[in-house]
Amino acid sequence: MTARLSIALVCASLWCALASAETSPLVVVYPEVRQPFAQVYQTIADGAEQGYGSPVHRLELANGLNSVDLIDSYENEIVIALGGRPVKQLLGKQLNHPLIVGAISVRIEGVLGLTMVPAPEAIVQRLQVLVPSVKNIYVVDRPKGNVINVAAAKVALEKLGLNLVIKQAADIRDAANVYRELVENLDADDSVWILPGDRFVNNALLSMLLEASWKSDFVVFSSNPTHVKRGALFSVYPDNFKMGIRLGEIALGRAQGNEQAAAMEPLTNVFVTVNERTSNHLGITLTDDKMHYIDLVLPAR
Amino acid sequence: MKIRDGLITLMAVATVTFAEQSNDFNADELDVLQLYGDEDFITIATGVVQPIAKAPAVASVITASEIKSMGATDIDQILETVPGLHVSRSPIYNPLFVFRGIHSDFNPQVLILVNGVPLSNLFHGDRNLVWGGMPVEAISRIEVIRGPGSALYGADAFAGVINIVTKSPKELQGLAGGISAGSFSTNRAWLSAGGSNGELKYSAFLEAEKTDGSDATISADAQTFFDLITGTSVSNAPGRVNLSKENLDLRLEANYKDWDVRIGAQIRNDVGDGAGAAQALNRDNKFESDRYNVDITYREDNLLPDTQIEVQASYYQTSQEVTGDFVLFPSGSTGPFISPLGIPLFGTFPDGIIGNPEIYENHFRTGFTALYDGIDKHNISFGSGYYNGEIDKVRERKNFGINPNTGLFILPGDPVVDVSDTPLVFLTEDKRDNNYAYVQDVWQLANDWELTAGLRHDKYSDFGSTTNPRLALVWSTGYKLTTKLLYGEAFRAPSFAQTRAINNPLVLGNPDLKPEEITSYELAFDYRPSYDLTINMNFFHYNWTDIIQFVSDMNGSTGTAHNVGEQTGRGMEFEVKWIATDDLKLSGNFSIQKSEDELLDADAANSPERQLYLRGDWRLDDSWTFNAQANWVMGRNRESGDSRLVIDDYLMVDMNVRHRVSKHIEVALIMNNIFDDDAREPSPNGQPVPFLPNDLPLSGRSFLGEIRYTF
Repeated sequence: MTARLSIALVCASLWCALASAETSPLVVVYPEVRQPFAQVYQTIADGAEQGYGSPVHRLELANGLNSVDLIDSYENEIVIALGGRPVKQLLGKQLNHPLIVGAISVRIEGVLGLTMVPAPEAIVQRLQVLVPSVKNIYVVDRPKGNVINVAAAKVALEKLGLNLVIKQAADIRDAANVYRELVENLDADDSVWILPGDRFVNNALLSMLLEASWKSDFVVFSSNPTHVKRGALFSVYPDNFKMGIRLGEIALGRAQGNEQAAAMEPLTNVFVTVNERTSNHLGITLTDDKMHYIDLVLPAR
Repeated sequence: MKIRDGLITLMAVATVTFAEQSNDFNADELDVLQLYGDEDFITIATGVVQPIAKAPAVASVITASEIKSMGATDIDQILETVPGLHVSRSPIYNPLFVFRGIHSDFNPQVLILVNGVPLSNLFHGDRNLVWGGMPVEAISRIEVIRGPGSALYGADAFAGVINIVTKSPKELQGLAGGISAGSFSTNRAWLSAGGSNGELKYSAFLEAEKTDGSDATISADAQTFFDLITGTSVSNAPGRVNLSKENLDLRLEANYKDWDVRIGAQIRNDVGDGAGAAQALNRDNKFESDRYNVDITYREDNLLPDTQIEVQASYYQTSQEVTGDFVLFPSGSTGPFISPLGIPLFGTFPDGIIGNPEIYENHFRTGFTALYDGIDKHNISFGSGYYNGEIDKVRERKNFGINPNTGLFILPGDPVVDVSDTPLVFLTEDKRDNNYAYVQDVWQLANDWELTAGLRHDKYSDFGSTTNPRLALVWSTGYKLTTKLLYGEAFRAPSFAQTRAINNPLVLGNPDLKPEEITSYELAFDYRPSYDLTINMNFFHYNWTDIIQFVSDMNGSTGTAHNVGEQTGRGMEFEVKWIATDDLKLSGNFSIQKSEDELLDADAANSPERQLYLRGDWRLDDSWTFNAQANWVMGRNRESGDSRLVIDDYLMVDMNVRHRVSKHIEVALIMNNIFDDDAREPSPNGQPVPFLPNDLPLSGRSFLGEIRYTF
């Protein structure tokens, strides 16, 4: 509660600061990391520049440095903080800068920005393109710490004509049992969605799940793109450039004094990766129509 | 699917081998990692590298990060780790990439490509006698296909295909460099730079190396034998093998929209001739070679429906040059001019036997490839092209043989005579044209069944036409297992030395030669019982026919090239990769082959019948990594008629310790052959005796220290 209050206060102070920020330049601060990690932030910053419509200051935050000190030399500029360390350092601080956050996998209440977690609709719409015959989506939810709200997702997916079946598991052992029981009754109408940040699905469980899907022809898709390498049919990952554009647009809205709700938007600009071996096995032909929605095909062995 | 990096991607390659993860992440990197799963996926997702397509073949891919972690400085060290492939040495210590028992003096049965463009030379069909090695810092990955591939690649994709893909501007953004120094007075430096301007991306890579090469000693050579017969005492053996080199490699690349342009230069100076071009040691012998290449590629996806087209033109120019005089046999030698009774024909040559053969070649290629996916369940590729290769200049100066000005023998003490542009030069200047067309269909027969069928027709101006098919049936047997059944045929173009050699006192070319041919069957399994474990196994059988060999002529002194040899082989390759823990990766392979010379009804010579390779990559903590590898080469037979004892097996162990000091600085210590094993590659048999009786010793223990800096 206290945290929320302080965040709200920060946002309020940032909001006040906006009065004189109409023509402020934009600062993008992100951790200094080696390639290829740096490419992620650099591409988001490129997108932010395009979305904002003018050059941005890029601040690479070396290890041990504090973002607060770094942005002090910039007066009244809007700050986009990318990545966990800059966001943690800047949140809750009394800043003279309007703050927008991005490239983090947690949703923070009362803050303007964009999460890196794809919206449920973003991934499920791809399922409908690839395997329109699927009617049911099974997820194994945990009581705490989920990065998406599965109940809200259920409502959203019903509008798309899909039935989201939510199973609960308290811990990894429980999840293993739930998954084992679950896969015994699934067929080609069904699919299993491994939720973002699902720590229940370890290597052994994933292997069991994928082997069962191979035998029973149900679809496994995941919010973790590396699962596609191992045999999940498809996953999504952020379109960093477009995410940057959206962050730049949010910043521009701020600069122009547009009223915006202090909330993090889910990620909708995503790329899709598909496992060719699994799609072949399921009899999914990657036609031009389908390829229109696919950005990366991981080839068969 | 993009048709990038030439045909190798088009043919749609091997197992999906992702870059090895370095694992030493800090908290900020873990933050990004959480979103993508692993580092490999980040490199793909950020477009730095393309995922590697599958190949209906037995193939291996070695990535830049694997190359770095094993501490390799030359492609030979990398290729030695591939199952079924052993890097042997010729007497001048050029690498012989021996696939599955297919060994020959010049190794023209292997096609090496750089970004899809062949490096083959016309003279011997190899990569130039003055090779000087190939550095690795500019390499993004090496793709190796074992078995024949002429149905796609044409000539010389025979025993295997090695495609070296260099780092693209996307991989080389910014500035980076490194230096290393170590044993044998080795000094290396490299610098890479890349940038972009809108849609234009460009990069440059410069690598330089100077080294004495090796500490190995040649204990006896051809001159030792001649000394014994003629009573002279002039051999330089025992003496250190002559492996100096000064290399400069430059690679430039620019990408703009659908256009790629690459320019390269490989300058080789002060290149030693190993144990001697005539198997007689002389540490003052030095070669030079300048090699330049340029290629331009254009991709068009919108010209025809469902069709991606790629057009490429390339030019490659090479030279084999001699620095000063090249002494085949040392001062005071009689040379090989000895009567059957052991009496020298001309006496001793005070300046030694000097022969300075120089060759200049150029190669022009143009062609297109197209991918058509407009038919359901079919992926059809086809293409056509033209090649023109020419040896446009042959120079020769020598102090033996016939003097073209007088028609008399050049005698000991006479000056060196230039026989270039006379009928007495060793090789005629000539050219060769090739037109080709191919088609391949990847047909999804059923859900888990895929059939690849390909056919290529080549027409050559000098030796006629050849058509080579291949078939690959790939069955996704289960979630964990994939099975492949492969059939392929291939041809190897006769080299100009085999078709056009003249005035050689020992061997003569034959313009009527046909290409060598091979037919191969393979059964391969890819089994992944868990995410941490990958097992690959294959069985192969090949029949190599029309092998070009020099057959003794009626005159008793010369041999002329004929298609007479035949060899069959069979074997198995087994490969395991195991992620034992988050910090430890273990891998290894075991290869076994049995090949038979059908003409002589004897075991085929010089190739290892068994080879075991083991490797461990261990992450000690966030900044320290340790790599150790062991390579055991076993069971190399002598050539028929060679009375020497069987050559000893050897076990080479290397280690590499690497420390990331900061984001910018990384240091490494690379130790090769740490147990100083007396490793030797077989020297050829000779008449009446092998001239290098104690084979070709490899380097002993060596160290190399390295510093890398990323700006």
